[in-house]
Amino acid sequence: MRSFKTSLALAAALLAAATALAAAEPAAEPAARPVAATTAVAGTAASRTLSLRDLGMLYSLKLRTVFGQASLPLNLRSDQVVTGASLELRYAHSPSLRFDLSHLSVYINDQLLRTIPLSAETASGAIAQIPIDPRLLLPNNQIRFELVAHYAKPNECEDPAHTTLWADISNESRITLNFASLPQAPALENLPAPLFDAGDERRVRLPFVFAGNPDATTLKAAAIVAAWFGAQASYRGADFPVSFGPLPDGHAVLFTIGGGPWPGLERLGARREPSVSVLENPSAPGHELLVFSAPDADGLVTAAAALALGKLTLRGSEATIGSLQLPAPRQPWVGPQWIDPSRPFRLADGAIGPLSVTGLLPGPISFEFALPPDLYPLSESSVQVQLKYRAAPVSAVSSSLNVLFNEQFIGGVSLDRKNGAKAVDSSRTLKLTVPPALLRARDRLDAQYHFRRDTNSACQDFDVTALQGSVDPDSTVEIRSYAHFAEMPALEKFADGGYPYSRLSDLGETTIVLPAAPVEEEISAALIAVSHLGRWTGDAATRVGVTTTDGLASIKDQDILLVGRLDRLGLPEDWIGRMPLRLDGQQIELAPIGTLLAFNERWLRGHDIGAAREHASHVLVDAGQRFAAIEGFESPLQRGRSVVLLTAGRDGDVRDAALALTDAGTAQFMRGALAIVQGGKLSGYELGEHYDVGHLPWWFALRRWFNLHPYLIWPTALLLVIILGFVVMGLMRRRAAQRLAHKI
Amino acid sequence: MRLSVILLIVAVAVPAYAVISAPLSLFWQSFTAIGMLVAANVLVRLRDYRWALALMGLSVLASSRYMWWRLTETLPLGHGFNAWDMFWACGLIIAELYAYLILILGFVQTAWPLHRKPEPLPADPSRWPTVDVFIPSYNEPLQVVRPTVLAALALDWPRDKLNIYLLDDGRRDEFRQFCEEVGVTHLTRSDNKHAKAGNINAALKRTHGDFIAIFDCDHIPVRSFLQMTMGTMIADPQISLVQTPHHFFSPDPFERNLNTFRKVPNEGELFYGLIQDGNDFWDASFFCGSCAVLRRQTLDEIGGIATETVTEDAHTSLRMHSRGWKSAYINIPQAAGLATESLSAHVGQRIRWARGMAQIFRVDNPMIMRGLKLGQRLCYTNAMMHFFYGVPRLIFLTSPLAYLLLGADIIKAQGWMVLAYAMPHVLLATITNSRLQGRYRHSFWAEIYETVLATFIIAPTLLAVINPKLGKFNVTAKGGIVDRDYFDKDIAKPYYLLFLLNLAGFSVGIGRLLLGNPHPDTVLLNLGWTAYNLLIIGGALAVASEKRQVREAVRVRTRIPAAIATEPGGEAYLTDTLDVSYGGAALQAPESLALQPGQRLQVLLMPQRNDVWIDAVVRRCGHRMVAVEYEAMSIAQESALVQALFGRADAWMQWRDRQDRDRPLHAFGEVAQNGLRGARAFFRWAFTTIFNRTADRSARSGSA
Repeated sequence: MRSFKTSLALAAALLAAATALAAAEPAAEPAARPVAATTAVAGTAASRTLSLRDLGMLYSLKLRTVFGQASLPLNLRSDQVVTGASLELRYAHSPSLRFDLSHLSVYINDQLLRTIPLSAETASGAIAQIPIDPRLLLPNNQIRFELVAHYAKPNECEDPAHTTLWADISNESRITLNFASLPQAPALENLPAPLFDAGDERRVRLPFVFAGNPDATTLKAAAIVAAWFGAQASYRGADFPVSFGPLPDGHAVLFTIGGGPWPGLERLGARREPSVSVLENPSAPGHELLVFSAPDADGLVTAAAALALGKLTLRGSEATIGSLQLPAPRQPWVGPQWIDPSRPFRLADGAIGPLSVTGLLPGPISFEFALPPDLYPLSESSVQVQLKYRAAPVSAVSSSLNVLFNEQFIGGVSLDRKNGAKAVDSSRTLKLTVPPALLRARDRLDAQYHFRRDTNSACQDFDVTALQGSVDPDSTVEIRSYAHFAEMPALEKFADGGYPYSRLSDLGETTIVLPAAPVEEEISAALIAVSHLGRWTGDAATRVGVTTTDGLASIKDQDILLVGRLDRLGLPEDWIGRMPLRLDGQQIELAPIGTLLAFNERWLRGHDIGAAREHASHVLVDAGQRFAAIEGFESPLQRGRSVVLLTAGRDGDVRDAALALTDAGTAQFMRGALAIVQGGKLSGYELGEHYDVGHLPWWFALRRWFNLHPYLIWPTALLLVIILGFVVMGLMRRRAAQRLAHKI
Repeated sequence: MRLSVILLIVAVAVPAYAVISAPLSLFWQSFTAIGMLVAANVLVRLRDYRWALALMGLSVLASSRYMWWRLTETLPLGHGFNAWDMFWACGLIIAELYAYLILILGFVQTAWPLHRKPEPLPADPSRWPTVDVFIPSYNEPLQVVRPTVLAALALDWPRDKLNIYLLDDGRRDEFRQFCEEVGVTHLTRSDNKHAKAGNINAALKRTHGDFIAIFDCDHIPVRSFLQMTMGTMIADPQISLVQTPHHFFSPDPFERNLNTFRKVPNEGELFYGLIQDGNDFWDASFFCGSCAVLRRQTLDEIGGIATETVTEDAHTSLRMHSRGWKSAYINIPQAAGLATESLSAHVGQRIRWARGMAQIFRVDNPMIMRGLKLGQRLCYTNAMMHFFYGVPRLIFLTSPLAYLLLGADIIKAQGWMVLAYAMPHVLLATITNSRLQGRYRHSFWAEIYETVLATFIIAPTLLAVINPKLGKFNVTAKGGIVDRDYFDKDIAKPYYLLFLLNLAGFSVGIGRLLLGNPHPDTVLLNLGWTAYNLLIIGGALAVASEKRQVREAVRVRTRIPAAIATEPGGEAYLTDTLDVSYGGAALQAPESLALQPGQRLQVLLMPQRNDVWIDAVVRRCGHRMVAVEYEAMSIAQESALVQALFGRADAWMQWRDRQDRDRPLHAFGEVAQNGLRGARAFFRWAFTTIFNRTADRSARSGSA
């Protein structure tokens, strides 16, 4: 499934066509997170109030021109039924309209809810209460606003794009939903619902329950399940609180070997084969338990893998697994998530919404795709966009097509037709170079048409709908020369792309390492982190490894995801030596920075790591031991392998570090080698020590080496030519002697 | 050997690639530039030749780094640049690529001047081969040809093995009579097909000597010419050509008009002093039409002198080399002649060379011709590519104007960055060339030499490349006199147009700077460039200001033992010459001899044992010197004079002693001075012309 993300531009723009906007990214700031009146799974009847901001509109909706439109999505959970709904519409509009001709209409799923006449009194702002018939609501809904506005009398001339034609709908407008739970018999075919419901835009919260301290193999099963939910939850993120015994009073996932201590679930102990079942939660009626049970821990892994691989027979309330054949190990960056950089990517495969737009101020034609995070362009012009476009031959003065890459303008073309309208019978091509610095793991390309009508002839008959523009489906993004290479540590690549673990989508080279006796919060953090990887791979994490710090020595060829509180890790000395943030006795300590390293970073890479370290130490002093942190460093076990450590101070919660990953608002600040999470804020730091992962072509590696050691260029040149001088001298002297002796 | 060379190339190429291609910030590029310049300034001071080779390497690296950067980062592609920018940028980049190629080919060509010594001849003269001396002539006056023939007759070679032929394409009786008189063969043919080449080929059919020595009719050989060259021919039967330098005892137009005769190496010296010697290392020295010995067997094999191009000499050599024959170059002047007299004649000659080389480039391209070795290909290619400098030179002279006058962005980089990359490129090339060529070409003089000719050789070279048949042979006029100072406005037209354009650009640039330009560094860079161009074009204008030639006969300043007798067979006073010419001599006046102007006497010039007295009249005397003018001479007397003047074996050995060593800054000063002088001459001419015209017009209107 493809996750859709709305951009600020999209939210702000007027949607002339009914864009099928599917969902909203969790807002950039934690404060903007939906605060529902109650949790969705709490009871039989509940109510929830959502602002338009919660639905993804970071700014007010702006309606423009004589006929302005905008729409936004409203998705509902499938285990709830709406019993009552209302819209509190906050709006304002131009005071200079002909009010007898102007009005604002609200539609839901193309059904008119209400038409609000505009008047001088409402111009400066008004609130309208609009009841919504709950029968109109479906799981996926579209709310549409239409402005019909005029400033001239019917027979007078009017500029349809006149600046006085405006109305704004505040994103503080609210929708209140009353709903009742829809009782459903527990059934496997509903999975992942009701534990996860795509109609719910909030972060998934799903407790994992173990009977006592789980062993590493059981944790592997949990990790596979967490990754699977992570892939489902996608941009929403997931939180998996862990409990060693007590059942929570909501949906939960349960792992058991030969029964457990839970009253009402005794029959689970009788299983002879690995099984997956859904049961009603005995401690919370109306809620479900997803139960993995098996006679041994390996059976749990089999059950979890079967679910993640989609090999379960999803019928009834229980499925058993006789035997399971794992698919072949994955190849790097092969998966539905990533586009294959070795060949041109058809933009249409990443289109969100239609490829054609109409009207004076149309919204963008948008595309999304994911590039492997270690894609390393070998030249400034490696990434090429070939945008084939067609614009209607309407005389639209100074109209243009602009292209944005990850919300940055990268180029455009004027659509001016000075010689009058001509036929458009083939597409034109706009070639653009994407600056490598704009590349991210998930990339977005917007083609934005800007139509302007000729304002010199206001009275000319002008049909707005004749202004049309489209992008051909065979437009491409092409990556000309690249390598798979990354300069590490790069926590930004971990946050945005799950790198380096996401390289193999079955997590075949990932090992999760926990302290010798992990506590609930550490396991929870590890599961959240794996779900973060699952989000990026979109695949079953069947080959993920789980071990404890006791087993470190036996790890080979693995990237390590280490989770544990600093004072509980018990790592060897050589590990501590590499950690940018570590515990020295009882003291929190930042790794010291050598003078040479600081000089190099300052003058060759332009990083003031001294200042970064200073800032980090201030943050740590303020935090005391109450902080969580994410650290990246090279594995002491093997060169070119990475460790990401999710940790916390003595009074901190490791889960905060993991949850920071799932929140786009905080994760965007992650970078370099260290991120400190404290009080809902995250600060990222480049601290200078680097290591390389992946391979560059030798010629590029050589150039890069000299680029990083520029002071060696002329001495190398000098040394080279001196050696050359001596050797050539010998060769030439010999040849000259031969020639003078008439031999050649 | 071959394997080790390949290994060496790989071992060097990999780090060299990195050094060339690593992109740097302005700060680090400046750091690198300064490092390279410091290293070059140390290397250039070390005398051992291997340091010079290292310097060449460093220069190539610096230039390659610049070119890499230019090609990968500074071409005006993408947003904000239009086709107009691209047009200028393409021109400049092509010119820069050309200069880069020529720089590297030049290094290869002159990496190791061979300094070949003459080989001793067999002790027994009876084993010496027979030699035919060819002196082709077409329209030169007998005056010019006489000394050459007389000097040829005096060559040290057994008389029975030496045949002199005057190849008279003018079929003149006067010449026939002279030939009979002195005892050389006068050869003519019925047509003039293929000019000089055809002339020689016709003679080849009618002669039989084992070797052919060829002298242009105004190149007077010294007596030791065959002694110096034939030993090499005999020692190595694979050698088909022994070439010696062309030496000129009169100033060429550059030397005369810039007053640099014998002070600054002239245009030809680089070629004969260094390039041919460097070519010899690669077995690529080529025939220059005169002052050379050729093996008849080889000429027969390739079908005689090549006739397809107007530079039959180089073309003939190329064919010989492609058949596996070798060539040799002996860098000892063994003949001398008159330089071209006027700039227009000089230009005419160079046009012919340029056209001819372009023709060969087209007809028998050395890069693809069969049978050549790599070194030969590169040397010949450079020799031919050299003559395509017209367009690149013009581009260098006008490129900053594209920015200053037209506002075109031709380099997509900031001014400081250009400077940081271009400085090591330009300065290292200058330093290295000064180290390699300093004795033969002073720094920056090539700019003047090339600028003067650039506009004239564009059309002939391009036409020849399009179709080698386009163009016709024009004979170099020699022996004429410039009888007054004048500004050759016809030949100077391109320079003063360029000068005015650059002046306009410079003024506009100053204006842009004063009005506050957002990119003062770019404006300054282009201003500096334009100022430099103005100086160089000024130099060209100075060359076009022809100076009057004072004497009819060229005087050779030389000290030869001489004797004066006041009457035939009378008492002889021993003395020395001060200078000698074909018409007279200046001698130290013997103290015991009282002389009067108009007095008749006899002079004996005796560089060697010689007893031919020449009748002469005293023209001036006093200050311990006496100047005499010869009277009508017999053949024997004239021959003796020729021997004394031109035929001495050491006649042209020490001529270079008085030249200054190259000091790049000093050389730049000289070039700049000439540039200013030229500019002054131009303005003087321009004002007088305008004034005269106005005066004429007012006079005419007044009379009407």
